[in-house]
Amino acid sequence: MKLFYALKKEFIILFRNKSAVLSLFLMPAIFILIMSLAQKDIYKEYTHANITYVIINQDKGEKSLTFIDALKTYENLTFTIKNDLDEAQKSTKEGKYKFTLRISPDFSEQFYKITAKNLIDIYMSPATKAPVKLYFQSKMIEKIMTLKMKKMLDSMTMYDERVKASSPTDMLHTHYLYDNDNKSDIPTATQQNVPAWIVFSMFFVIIPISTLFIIERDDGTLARLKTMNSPKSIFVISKIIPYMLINQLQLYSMILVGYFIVPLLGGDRLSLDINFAALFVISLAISFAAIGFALFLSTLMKSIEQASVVGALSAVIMGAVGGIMIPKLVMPPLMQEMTLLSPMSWALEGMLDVFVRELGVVDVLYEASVLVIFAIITLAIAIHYYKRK
Amino acid sequence: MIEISNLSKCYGEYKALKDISLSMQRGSIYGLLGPNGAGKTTLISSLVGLHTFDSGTIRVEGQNIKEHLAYIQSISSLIPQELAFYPTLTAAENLEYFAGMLGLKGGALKSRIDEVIYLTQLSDAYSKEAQTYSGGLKRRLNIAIGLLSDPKIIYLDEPTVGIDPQSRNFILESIKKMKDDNRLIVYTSHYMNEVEFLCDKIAIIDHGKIIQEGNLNTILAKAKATVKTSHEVLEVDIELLSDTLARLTKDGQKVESIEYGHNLENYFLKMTDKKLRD
Repeated sequence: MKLFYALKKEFIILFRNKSAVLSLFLMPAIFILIMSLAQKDIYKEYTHANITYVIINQDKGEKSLTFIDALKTYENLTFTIKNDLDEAQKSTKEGKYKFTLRISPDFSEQFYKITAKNLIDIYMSPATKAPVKLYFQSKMIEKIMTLKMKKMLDSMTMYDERVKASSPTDMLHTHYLYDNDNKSDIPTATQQNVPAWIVFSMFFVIIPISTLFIIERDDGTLARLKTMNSPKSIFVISKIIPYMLINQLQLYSMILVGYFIVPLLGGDRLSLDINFAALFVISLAISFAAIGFALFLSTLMKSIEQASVVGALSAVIMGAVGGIMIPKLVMPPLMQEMTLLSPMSWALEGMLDVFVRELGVVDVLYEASVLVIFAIITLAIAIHYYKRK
Repeated sequence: MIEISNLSKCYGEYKALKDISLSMQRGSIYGLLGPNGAGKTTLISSLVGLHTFDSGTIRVEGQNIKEHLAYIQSISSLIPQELAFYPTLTAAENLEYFAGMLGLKGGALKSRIDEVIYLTQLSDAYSKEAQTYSGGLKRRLNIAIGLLSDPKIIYLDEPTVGIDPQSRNFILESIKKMKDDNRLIVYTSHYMNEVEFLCDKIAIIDHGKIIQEGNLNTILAKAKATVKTSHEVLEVDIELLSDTLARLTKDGQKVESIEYGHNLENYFLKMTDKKLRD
């Protein structure tokens, strides 16, 4: 019965602090919407994107026309032929076209020569993303190589029709490894962002937990409870359960945001082809780690103001180090190793196992165990430090 | 009821309590006086089991606190100077929570809450959030929570700080009634008129030591006289009064009044000196 009254008190206090509770839901929802829409194209394959560009053909020979004909086979790369290079460059700079392709006057003359150089110039805006540039370059190189290879093969006596039919890209096929064999698409920005910002927001319970704990400590409520011989375990459990529930509510609310609201605004719909049991296991472990850290911080902080600032700051730092704000894969090797220091990194890996890699319960147990160990250590330090004080 | 023998407590090098021995009885109000930092809170904290102590013994109803802390806590209640409740909960919710933590439930919980609501006259504010209360109401809720366990010993630490005269009067009258139920009230306050009004026995504590203990009336009625002249105010032993008056006359000073007995505030300042203690 003591636990019932303790939980009732925690829930009433929590839900009367409407602004704090609301911010726990609004903050990740806003981040998910902004990031999923802003990064929509980053995670996309450019084979799905439509790139428009201008061709300025200064060559009078046939080979440039053959090359331009070959470029027509790319359905997602559409070009317009123009004569004025300056005008084309200006339009490209302004963003009307992604690229301007200038074919030099000696293209046909030099094309098959070993010394051929600078036959094609590609102009683009400085704001062009590196993956887009690389994709476009690779497509141009592919066509140049195909034409050169064709010439070589045509000159050979032992000619094989099958070789002629193949282009270098036809020889390659890229696969994403899912448990579900029918699935082949790259994860969308929504699929990457929803788990990241769920993890971030789950750790933000640090602020309400530490604030209430400091109030209880400073106004003598904890001392009063101690003189009432009220068990410490009831106190700790009554802190853990409500915030675990809040974390679960955050999780499923953000899933709904990714599934319903992001597509309404033009983003990709969150795929729910995931293992919910694995999601439950990893989310409980994340909650436990966040609450353990919150109680640890509460015992160290001297005032509510200090707890609010340090709590928010530590969540942001853990998020930055843990790969929430900047994906781990773009970090240098040393930074990638440093992410292991942040519990948010383990939490994010667990969530990506579920949302992106679509793995099961057994696959998230490693990350979940690390998070539970982190929670136990922080809770033990918190209890020990509080007793000492 | 409470027997304290040779109690000592140190915080590192600092000696907070030095060899304290006291005796407190049921059906009385015991005033614990002392300047800030004198050791009052440390002493009360030791009596309710919030702090451990280094040496000495505390016995409550014959039970050693080190062996029977749970029992002693079950018959004691600390009403701290801080408003130790949840400001965003109503009085009803606060009382239900703390009653629940005491192990009360069902009908027993409800009837005990009704009793303390009646005793502290909280019914009008019962369903409003505590943060909206006046200073007096907050103090009364603080006391109400302390009464939930129907304790035999109540430690009241400055229960009238920052409230209006009506609320103060209500609280003081209520405290006076509490001892009629054969309770022991241990009362600390910086308001000497409250102590004079309430307490049967007092102890003055300073620098961790008891410097005066006894029946309040005896202390106040000790043979002292305050002689006021046009130039000065003198406090003299009654045996020396005639010599003092003769000297004053010889010096040409006019005696304006003579008061017999002590004023507690003057006595307190005399015992603990007037130096600031913040």
